[in-house]
Amino acid sequence: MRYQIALALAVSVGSLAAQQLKFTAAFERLSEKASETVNITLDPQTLGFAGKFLSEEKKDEAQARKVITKLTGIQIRSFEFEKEGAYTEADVNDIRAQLKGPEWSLIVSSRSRKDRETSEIYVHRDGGLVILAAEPKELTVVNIIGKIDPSDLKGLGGQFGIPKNIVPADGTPKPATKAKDEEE
Amino acid sequence: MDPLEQGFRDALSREPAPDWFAERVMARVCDEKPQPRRGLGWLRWAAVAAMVVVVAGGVRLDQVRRERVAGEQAKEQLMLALHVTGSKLHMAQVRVQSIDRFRPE
Repeated sequence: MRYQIALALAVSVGSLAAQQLKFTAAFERLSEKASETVNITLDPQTLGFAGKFLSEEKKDEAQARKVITKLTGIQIRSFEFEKEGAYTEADVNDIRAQLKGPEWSLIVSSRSRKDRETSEIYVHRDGGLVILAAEPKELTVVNIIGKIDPSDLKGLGGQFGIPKNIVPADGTPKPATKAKDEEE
Repeated sequence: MDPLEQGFRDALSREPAPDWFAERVMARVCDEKPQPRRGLGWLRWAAVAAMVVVVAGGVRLDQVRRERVAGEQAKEQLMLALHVTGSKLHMAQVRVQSIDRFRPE
C-alpha cells in the first residue's frame, strides 16, 4: 500500500514537473532588450498564500480562488519590444521543443503571415496549459501547471478577458490539432 | 539679677546627656530592621510584563503587516497572470474565428 502511494506520488510529482517549462538563460535575457516585461512565477506556496487574500465577494476573485486550488504553479514571461527583430525564431523554438512530447497536444494554432503573428495553445494530458503568442514586437509564454483542464477555463469565461467559448461545450479539447495558416 | 531672669537661666542651662542615652539610642537603631518597600516589587514586574506585551504586540503587528503586503503582492501577481492568460486566449480565439469566417464553405 505504501509502495503504491509512494509510486502515485512520484508519478504525480513527475507529471507536474513535466508540465513546467524551463526558460533558458538566453530566453530570460530577452528582458534586457524589452521595453516592458511581465515576469511572473507563482509556486504552490505563493498561490496558496495569494488565495487567502482573494475576496469571496468579488466575482473574478472568487472564481480565481476556485481555479487556483487545482494549480501548482503559473509561469508567465511576456516581453514587449520597441523594435521588431528583438527576439529570434530560435527563442520561440526553444519553447516549442519542450512541447514536442506525446504528453502535449497542440489544440489551437493560428499564424498570420501578413501580421507575422502566431498563437499556439498546448494542453498536457494530465492537465496544464501552455500559450505561446508571438507578434513582431511582443512575445508571451504562459505556462499553467496543475490539474487544470479546459473546462476550468470555461468557468473563467467572460472574466480576465477569457472568452466564454474557448473550449467546446463538453469542456474537452478537440483531439485534432487546429492548425491554421491565415493569409498565406 | 532678678528672680525671673534667674529662673530662665536655670531652666535653659546646658546639661550633659545622661550616660544611658547613647546606649539606648543605638539599641533602638539596631532593633529597627528596614521595612520591605511594599508595592514597588509588583509594580516593577508589571512594568516589565507591559513592556514585553508591547514589544511582542509590535513584532506581531509588523509580522501581520508584512504578511498582508506579501499576500497582496501575490494576489496582484495572480490576477495579472490570469489577465495575461485571458488576453492571450482571447487573441487566439479571435484569430481562429476570423479564419473560420473566411474559410470557403
